[in-house]
Amino acid sequence: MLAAAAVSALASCAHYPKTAQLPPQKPAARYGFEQIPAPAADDDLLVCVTFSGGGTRAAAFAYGVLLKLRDTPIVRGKDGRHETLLDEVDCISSVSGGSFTAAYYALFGARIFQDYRRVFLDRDIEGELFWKAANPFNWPRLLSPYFSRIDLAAELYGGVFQNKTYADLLAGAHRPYIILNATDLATGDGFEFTQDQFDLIGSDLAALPIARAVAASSAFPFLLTPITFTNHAEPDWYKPPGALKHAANDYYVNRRRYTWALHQRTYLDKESTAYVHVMDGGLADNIGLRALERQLVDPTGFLSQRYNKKGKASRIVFIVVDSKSGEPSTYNKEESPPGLLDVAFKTATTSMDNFSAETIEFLRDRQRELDQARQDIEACKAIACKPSDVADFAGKTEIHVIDVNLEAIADCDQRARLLSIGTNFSLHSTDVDQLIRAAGDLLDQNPDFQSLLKALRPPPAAPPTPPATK
Amino acid sequence: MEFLLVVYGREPDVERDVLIDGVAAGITNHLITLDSGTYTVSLDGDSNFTPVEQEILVNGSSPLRPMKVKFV
Repeated sequence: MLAAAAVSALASCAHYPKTAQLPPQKPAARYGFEQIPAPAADDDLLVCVTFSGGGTRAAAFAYGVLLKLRDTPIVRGKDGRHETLLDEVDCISSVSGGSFTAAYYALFGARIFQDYRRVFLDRDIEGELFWKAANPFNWPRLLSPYFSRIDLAAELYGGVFQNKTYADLLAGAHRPYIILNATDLATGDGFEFTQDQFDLIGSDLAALPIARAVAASSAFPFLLTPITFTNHAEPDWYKPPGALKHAANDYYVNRRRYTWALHQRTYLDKESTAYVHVMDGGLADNIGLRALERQLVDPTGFLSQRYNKKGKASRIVFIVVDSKSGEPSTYNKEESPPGLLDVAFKTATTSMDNFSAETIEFLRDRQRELDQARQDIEACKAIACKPSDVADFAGKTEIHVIDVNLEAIADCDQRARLLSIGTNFSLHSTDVDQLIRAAGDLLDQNPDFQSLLKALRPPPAAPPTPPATK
Repeated sequence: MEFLLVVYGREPDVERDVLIDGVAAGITNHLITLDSGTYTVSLDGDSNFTPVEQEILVNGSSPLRPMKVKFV
């Protein structure tokens, strides 16, 4: 009787940690791209990387890309300073397994190359989570309706990220700026761990542990539970973005923008949306690219601003790292249809890869449109009576899109081998080795990556002038 | 992708920051790329222009025929 009472008391006490409400005065520091200084004191080369979901497979593949960027020397600036391409990474947008690598690099920088394998990649995270849930001391907490497996996962991940918060990221004052992506279960749209997103739910991102954001980003349906945030009232100083109001009129003009605004506006209705439940970011966008695309096509976005203003960036580079969402299906070898679990898994993951290809093509279409626009303007200037009458862009920004995907591995056997690696959170170290190596190899053979390196090469020095002969 | 051109008629050669939905998103006399839709456009700095702001619907523009917005 006493034991039951104790369990009941413990269960009623257990509650997920609530987010802090935004203060009545606007905080001077907020986690946003503009608040974080550029790595090499300039934004001339803006590099944005996306890391897909896919468990430790995705985390290791993303780590391999970071390693390759670290080992890629470039020469920058008029002073010809020597850097690596990794030094120029300004932002990372990530999902699920990729969010572990993104967050670890943003917090600890080059230390990732010393200890990340031990701290995360080579660990049996899934097993540790299982035993944490199996520990009888945690059962009373798990009986609470306000505490679940995802909160245990966030506690476990707290060890990986040393219980750091977004305030620590802000205090570090260095790029990359990270956007960890989850999915709002009510709207099905992306939910970004940025202060702009948290403004809408009246919450202060600075106090949030990174581990909870990563847990939300990687809360795979069925295996883990959603993470819940309280939707606080906004303070008086907060004004929602103009697009939320304007896009309400845009149904027939821009359905994509209309739908995004419609979903975002639900957070302003504090009665109907008292709480927000978020899960794996892969449900909305498994490659984390949509968050960055919005920054490019929305004129108030940080990428758009750099494209449209003079001398802001000469190149904007997108490196899209996709380890794919699952293993190749063998369903069609059998006459009998897949069982319930297989169907449930497929239902949760099929849309991920479909969206991924479309999302990359959307970005490539924008790149082509802008290239074409520049060509048209140049052609028009060439035949115009007054070339200065032809309106032109303020800057000369070039966009590069580099798609790094396990599916692009040329060797059939190696591709099949790597795509058959599970997307759970426990991998054999030889699998981790192969994924890391594959990332470097894929970049080496990627024509868009090689074009970028060629474009970044300094022009050859002019030959010395021969001494004048008398 | 849409194209917007904002002009400050009082001093046509002066380049001023263009505010779109309150954010400095580009400069006058130069093309600004944006997604199709409705926006509020204004100029940054001194309030020596009219109207104070304009609500516009950008759709069907092209780089050679951008949507033009003029402040005087």
